[in-house]
Amino acid sequence: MSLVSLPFYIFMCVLLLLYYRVRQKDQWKVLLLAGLFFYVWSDPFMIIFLLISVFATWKLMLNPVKSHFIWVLVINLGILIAFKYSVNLGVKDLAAPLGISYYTFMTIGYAHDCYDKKIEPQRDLFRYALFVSFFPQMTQGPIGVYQEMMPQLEEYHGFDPDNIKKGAYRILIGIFKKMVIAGRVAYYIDTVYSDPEGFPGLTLIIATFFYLIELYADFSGYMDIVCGISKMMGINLKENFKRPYLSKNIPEYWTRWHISLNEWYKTHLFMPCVTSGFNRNFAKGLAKVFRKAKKGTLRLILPTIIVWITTGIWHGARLSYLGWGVYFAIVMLLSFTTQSYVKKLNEKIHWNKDNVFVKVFQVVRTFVIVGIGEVIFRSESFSDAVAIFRKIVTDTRINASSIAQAMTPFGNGNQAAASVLILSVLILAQLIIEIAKERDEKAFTGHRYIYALAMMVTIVLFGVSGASNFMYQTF
Amino acid sequence: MEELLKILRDIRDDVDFENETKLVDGKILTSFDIIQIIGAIDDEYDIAIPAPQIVPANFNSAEAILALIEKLKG
Amino acid sequence: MTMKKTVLTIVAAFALICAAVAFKNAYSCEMPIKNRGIRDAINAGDLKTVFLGSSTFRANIDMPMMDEAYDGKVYDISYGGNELVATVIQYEEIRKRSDHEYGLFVFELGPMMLTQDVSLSDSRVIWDLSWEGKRELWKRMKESGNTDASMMYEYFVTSGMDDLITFPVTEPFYSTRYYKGAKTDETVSPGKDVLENEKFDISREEYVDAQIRAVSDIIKACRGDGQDFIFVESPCYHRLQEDEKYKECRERYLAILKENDAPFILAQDVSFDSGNAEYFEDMNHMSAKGRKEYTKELIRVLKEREDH
Repeated sequence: MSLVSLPFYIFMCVLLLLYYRVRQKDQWKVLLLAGLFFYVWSDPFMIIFLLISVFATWKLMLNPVKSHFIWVLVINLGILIAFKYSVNLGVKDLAAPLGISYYTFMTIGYAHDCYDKKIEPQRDLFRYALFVSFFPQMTQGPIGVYQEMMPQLEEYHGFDPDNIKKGAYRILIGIFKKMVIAGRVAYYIDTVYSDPEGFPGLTLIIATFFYLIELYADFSGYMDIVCGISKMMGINLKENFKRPYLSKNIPEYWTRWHISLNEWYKTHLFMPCVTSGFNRNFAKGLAKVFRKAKKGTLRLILPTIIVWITTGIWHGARLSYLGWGVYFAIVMLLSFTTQSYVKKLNEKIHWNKDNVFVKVFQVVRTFVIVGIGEVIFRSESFSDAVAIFRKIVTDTRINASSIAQAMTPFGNGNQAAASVLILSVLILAQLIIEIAKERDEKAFTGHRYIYALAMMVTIVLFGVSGASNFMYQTF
Repeated sequence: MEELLKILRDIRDDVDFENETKLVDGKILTSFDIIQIIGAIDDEYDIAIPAPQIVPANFNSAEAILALIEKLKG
Repeated sequence: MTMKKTVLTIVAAFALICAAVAFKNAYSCEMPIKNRGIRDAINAGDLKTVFLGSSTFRANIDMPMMDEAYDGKVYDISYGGNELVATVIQYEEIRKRSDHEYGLFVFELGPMMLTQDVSLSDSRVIWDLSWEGKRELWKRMKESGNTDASMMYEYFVTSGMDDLITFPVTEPFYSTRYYKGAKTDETVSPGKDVLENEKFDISREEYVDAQIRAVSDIIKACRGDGQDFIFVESPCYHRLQEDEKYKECRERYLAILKENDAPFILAQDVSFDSGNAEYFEDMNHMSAKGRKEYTKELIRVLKEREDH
């Protein structure tokens, strides 16, 4: 069930009615049933894998010893890898069960924390199942942390109209971002990226810019919907995005983009790597070669490479994902190995970090570096990515003709100018709102009714869901 | 303590390690800083800090870090 | 208190949406767009010749030359991908809304139009139509094919909304690209190599009944109004002209015309070199050079016919 569909809204209405009417002690059970119902509706046969994971993990972690933990890893990762990388293993590409990447990570997080004795294992199978099957998180996260989620899931939430209102408002924002912003650029990006050789440099740059916008609007919009739905049930999920494109450097970017995933990696892969004996010895070995290295920096190298490569291939079995992982591994490594040199350089040129132009430069620079990574990610093949970079560098002209050419992928022929105008206004508005909120989280929260009105009207009149039904002739 | 402070300042020269008591809870140190501190302590004192000990309480102040080092040494 | 505000907001949103949709559907055809479209054509008064076709007519007819030949009493009504069912409705719409005299209606004889689905090819098509015209076109679309809720939504709600909202800014820009309905771009040929190697495959195209019927509908409508008309096939690049499927479709089209005793001018009736790559931008559309050359010859043939 798509979260942006009529059946889902009917489901939510029914759920909310039940949820707020049952006895206090039964409320969490309604939530559990809702999660299972949602899963069965969306991906009926695959629920078996979810149930296997839930039962096996719960049972094994009741006694959190090493051998049990290893079994949990083998079972969960085994299923995940089998589905995600079936192509590479020579089997045909199997459709992965709904949410498997997300609930597997949540499961492993739970198991790891049990093993590390950070948390007490959950004695009740059904309460544990509730944690893993909480349906708003099922399709695209955020990746919930057991100790943060469980108290909220278990406790009783009385009906509070404020929650309903705030949740609905949040959902509206999400739909707006997805349908009015992300939806509008999708066709352009798909057209250009499916045939990069056929488009000049300026068009490729614009398509890449749009891709960054689309990624953000689509993903963070979806998160808004997820958070809004949860809020309606009195549950506050952690933010998964924090105005990432306003980051001033790449390490900061990764604390603002897909926050739950990066925190998961930090806690469950990065830190264990850092403190592992293997890394310790590796770093000490490196220290003999790089004597002047700052203490502690060498310790970051191997974990960074491991985490970034893993993050890359977590997205799927494609070479472009691996390439993306390698790219950011290199960028991150460069970032902290050159920290002290950059600092000295900044002092020499009187680099004033409070200066507005410096800040703008840093934001744009970060945006471009992320953009390069996303070109690698989005390209349909390695040669496509190379072609895109080559054309951007050698074939970019800015004149009336190239600008006119850049309008053609909008797909509605001679009406492109209107689309461009509206899109520019929307993106600019989003930018202004984000900059304001960066300074003060409470910005733009005053006139919610007016914003809601504007969003509703815009979504209905200008929203795009999927490609146009009509093949507008681009002659 | 002086040795430790020198190591800490080497990693972040803009933090007042002598007086600050909310290095982690106050989001002053980033996780990269923590990792570098762990690494530096290992290099200097030859102590590997195990994962369960990497909690805010042990890194919120220079005193706490020193106490951790003493505990692991002994 | 806040419950009231919420309801008010939703009601206001609904009202605004309905107002915008109603306005667009009822009055888009009255919006003052310049240099193209049905409204502008009607405002041009009595006309000696009116062209009605697709982007082929839009690109291949040089309106300044036509101006000269017909004392400025010409117009070119054309939409990208325009097909025959829509053309019937466009013709009827003009007749209904206009009190003026039209000497000759020139319909585009595009053989491949017989294989086109009844669909919306250009949001300007419904923009130009009155509410009745919009409904009629939708009815024909539904009759002839697979329409669904999302298509209906796009047709009546979102199509053209972009232009409506940005009208004050985008209209001045758009209007500079047209003159009396034809494009003013000075297009150039991409060269013989490109044209010789451009891929196209129309071998699998199939006739659409609604389009075949529409040809007779046009003829009947004109005869019913006592309106002089003619079908003109614009030359296309020789590779397309010589394509088997194209020739087959043309024969089918001619069969309908002959059956109804309708007058026509074929590409071969006009002295124009379809093999000259300099004259074409792609298989269908001419370059500025080709357009001027063709228009000169077309005027000659049309005037010859008048004299008989």
